[in-house]
Amino acid sequence: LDILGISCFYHDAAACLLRDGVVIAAAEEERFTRKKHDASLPLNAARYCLEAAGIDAADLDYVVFYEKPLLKLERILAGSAATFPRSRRMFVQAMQTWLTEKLWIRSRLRNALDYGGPILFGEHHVSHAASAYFPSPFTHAAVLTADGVGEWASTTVGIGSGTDLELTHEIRYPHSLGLLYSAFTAYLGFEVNEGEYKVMGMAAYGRPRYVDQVRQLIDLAEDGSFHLDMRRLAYHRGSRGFEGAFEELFGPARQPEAELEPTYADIAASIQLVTEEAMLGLARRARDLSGSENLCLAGGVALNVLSNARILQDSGFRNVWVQPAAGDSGGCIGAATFLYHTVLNNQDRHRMDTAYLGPEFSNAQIHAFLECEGIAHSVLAESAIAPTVARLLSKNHVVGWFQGRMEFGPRALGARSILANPTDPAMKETLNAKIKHREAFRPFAPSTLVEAAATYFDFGVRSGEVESSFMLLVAQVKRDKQHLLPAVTHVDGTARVQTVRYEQNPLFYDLIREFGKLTGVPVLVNTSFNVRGEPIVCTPEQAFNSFAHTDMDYLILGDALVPASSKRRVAAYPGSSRIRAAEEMIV
Amino acid sequence: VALLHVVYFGVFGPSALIARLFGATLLDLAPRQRRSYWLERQPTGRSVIELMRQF
Repeated sequence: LDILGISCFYHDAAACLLRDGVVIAAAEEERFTRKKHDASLPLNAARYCLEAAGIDAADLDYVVFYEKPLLKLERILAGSAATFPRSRRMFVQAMQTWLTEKLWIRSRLRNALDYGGPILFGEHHVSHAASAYFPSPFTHAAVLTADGVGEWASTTVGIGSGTDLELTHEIRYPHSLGLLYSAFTAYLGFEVNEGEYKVMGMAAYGRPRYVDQVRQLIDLAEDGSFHLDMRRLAYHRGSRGFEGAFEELFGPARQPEAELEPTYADIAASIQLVTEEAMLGLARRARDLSGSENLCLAGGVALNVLSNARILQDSGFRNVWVQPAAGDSGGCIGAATFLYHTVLNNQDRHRMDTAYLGPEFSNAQIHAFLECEGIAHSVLAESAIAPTVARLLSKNHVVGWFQGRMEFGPRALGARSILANPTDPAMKETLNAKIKHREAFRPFAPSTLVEAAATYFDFGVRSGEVESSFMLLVAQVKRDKQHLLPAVTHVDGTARVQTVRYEQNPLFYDLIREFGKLTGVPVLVNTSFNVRGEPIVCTPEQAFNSFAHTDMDYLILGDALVPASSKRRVAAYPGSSRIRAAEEMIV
Repeated sequence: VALLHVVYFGVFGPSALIARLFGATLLDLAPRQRRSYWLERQPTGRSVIELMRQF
């Protein structure tokens, strides 16, 4: 049974192919079109999924879309009517895209894929919930989803049991934790749907002095639900998430690219703290409703690693599993798995143990590219890749690492990564300034062996080995180890950790182990293989182009090692410094 | 775009104002303090027929 899942038209469009309950391919459209967070119909991603499955669209049993378009349109029209005449810009902008594109999703999919079978429509938060529950290791779990908004819901709680999934309660738009956080993202001078990570990173530099003001925006009820004061927010009537009444509370908005003033860091710390409290309340409600000790999380807010860590530590759940593509891109997996298990009643569930679901390139394809472009390189024996790269990293060289299938989701997990030595105190500055070309305050994440994680990191739970396979949990770097890991220890002593098991990625595991043998520290800096404004690289050519435009020292493409002396620009600079602080938020 | 503005001010807007005049709650914008803001959900559609609908 082959099901093609599709999510698109808001941000992070993606497609996946579910075969007999197993996700055999998934990819975001941005990786193919090279437009970051591309929301367009993911035809490239869909074609890749079909190719990976070795089938044509005509062979599919179902195509399923991750939400109900007409319910979403109803919400937009209701919002525009409720805020007339201030909604003029939003209405016109929304109708342009709806009338020309979004209303015709069924026929567009049919025509583009040349597919004549059934096209189904899930619900946005059911898709999120299913993407968290069905690939999880649990047979019974509470489910919590929180994002900007789907059709009407912005937050849901429910229960997954066997092949059944039911969401029992919801909070509706315009009351939304995700949109509240995005309003602060815009206020702090960052791009909505992109800069939320930056707010999280910035929060560590501040003190939560503005918590009382943030609480004037959100009423947190004892049962975990919440309600926003929409008089001070503006996303429901236009593209800016905030306006004058908001600035009366917090002062003038920060301009994009402005210096990081302490006040803004304090505001970031305050919204972060309130978000954590809100998520904790929601998680406790989910636990009370379900009586389960397992929690599955998805939705864009589940990418907030600090709140995930608070949930793990303080909500009373013993186990927490977060969908690696927790944002809208993962919705395609949820729509497909919900159809497969709950609607079609298939019992065989399959755990999503890795996120390596994207395209891969053979060594022969890589060699052909390098030779065609005349790029000097050396070819390593398979057994020499890990020791050679580990030696380069131990000498403080920065290495572009391109191996196997590309990751699905926003995190680089050792397939399309830039790697470096975390023990070098200068490495963070080198990576931010010379390679990633991004803000100096942003931290870098470590990857470590699962069995070494407890030596270096404290996840704040009393018992058991914590896995963070998808880099979706934050841990404290142990006090006596912080001096060993200056490049990945954030200013507040935390790190967003990836733990690696051998079975998940043998080559990456061996690399970390070899690095550990050389330095005594089996931990690497692992940051996504892209420059600022660029989607993570997908192909060898894109990897080489990013490499050529930065100060990386080596590039390892499969078994081909490319030194910096081979750099030459095969295409234009792939990144962007353009900031779109007033990004559309809800249309 | 011009036509959409005409629709917005000529048709959509007046309809919205009339609806609001008659007390329609189009969006939950009222500031309020309650013990709970949870809403119970309708059971999720779980048949292929229900999933064929775009609403």
